[in-house]
Amino acid sequence: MYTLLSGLYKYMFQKDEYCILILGLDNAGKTTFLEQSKTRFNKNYKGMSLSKITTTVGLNIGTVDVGKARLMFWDLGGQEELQSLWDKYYAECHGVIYVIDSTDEERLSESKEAFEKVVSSEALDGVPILVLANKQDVETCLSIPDIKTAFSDCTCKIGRRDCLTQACSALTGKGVREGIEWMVKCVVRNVHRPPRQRDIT
Amino acid sequence: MGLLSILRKLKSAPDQEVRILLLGLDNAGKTTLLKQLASEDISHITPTQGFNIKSVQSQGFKLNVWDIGGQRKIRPYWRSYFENTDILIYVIDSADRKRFEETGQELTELLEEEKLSCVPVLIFANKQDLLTAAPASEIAEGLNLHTIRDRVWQIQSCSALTGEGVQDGMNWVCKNVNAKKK
Repeated sequence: MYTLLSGLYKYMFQKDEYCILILGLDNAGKTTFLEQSKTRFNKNYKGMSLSKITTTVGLNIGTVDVGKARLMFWDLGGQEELQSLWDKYYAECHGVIYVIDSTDEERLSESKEAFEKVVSSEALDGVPILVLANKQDVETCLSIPDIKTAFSDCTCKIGRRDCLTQACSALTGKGVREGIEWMVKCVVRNVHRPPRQRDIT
Repeated sequence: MGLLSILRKLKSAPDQEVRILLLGLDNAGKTTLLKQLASEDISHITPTQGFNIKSVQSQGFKLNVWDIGGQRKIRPYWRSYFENTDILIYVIDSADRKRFEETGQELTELLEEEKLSCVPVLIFANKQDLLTAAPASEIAEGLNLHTIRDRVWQIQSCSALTGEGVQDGMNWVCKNVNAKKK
């Protein structure tokens, strides 16, 4: 009976853990996206004011529970000299969220180059990628078709994986929930990267 | 009624106290940094034999900063101060490349301490005023900071001597005071 009950308990409360990398150039809005996600999906979470977010030169982490899945976010610094650290996380991750600043047309090609390196990495084979065209709350921003055109070189490198481009504003929260729910579906069904399993302590 | 609301305001906004541990090898610049934070004279800094404590106000927080001496023979005593630490600040001499391995080893051991588990860590890459200083990104890679998975971390270039970068680092501290709990 004890074994049955403890098994039932574990079944009801255990969460499959998936690690999600948040990548993109500096100032694209990665940490704002992380804060908005934590706010939207965690009832009790008291986030930091979005206006106070400063440049990440390191690692921000966050945890979000969606159904039976638990997403562990690793938000990494996006400056060019920090991008050499990104690939050290690839082997352990189940999904990538790539954030683009839709208002920064000047750096769009730089963002595309960084993205190309990400999708070209063998360590990320088959890993779902959510591309977020961020800052869509700004009127003068580039549209999704514009961004897809700028990134069209990379489509042949995406290979066999789930990939979605989603308009979003991390500041207002628009598109954040949809993006994460899509990512959850993808990582759950990706049998090539099984989740880390951990009981809730 | 006005008085009641005033009292309620006072009561509901006490400064949150934050316990900050300031560690690093000897000569990394910990005490200079501490005095810079406290706006004190930094013209006469001698090696710390025991520890210094200062309370600093920043963005509504009362930061209690504990600066423990970094000489080799003192380092075993660091452990006595780990309890209830909210933020770890680790100071590195960015110009002393010969000791990068040593300082990386000490930091790694700190991060393995159970009492410091999940404590956010700010690494100050100090002495950036010197021409020979390594940039923060190089230090981050050299110290294998990318192996950190269970806590938030940030590396901040600074010069405790000139004050440059110090406030940016402390801004990060205030933002991440509660990061340990989630």
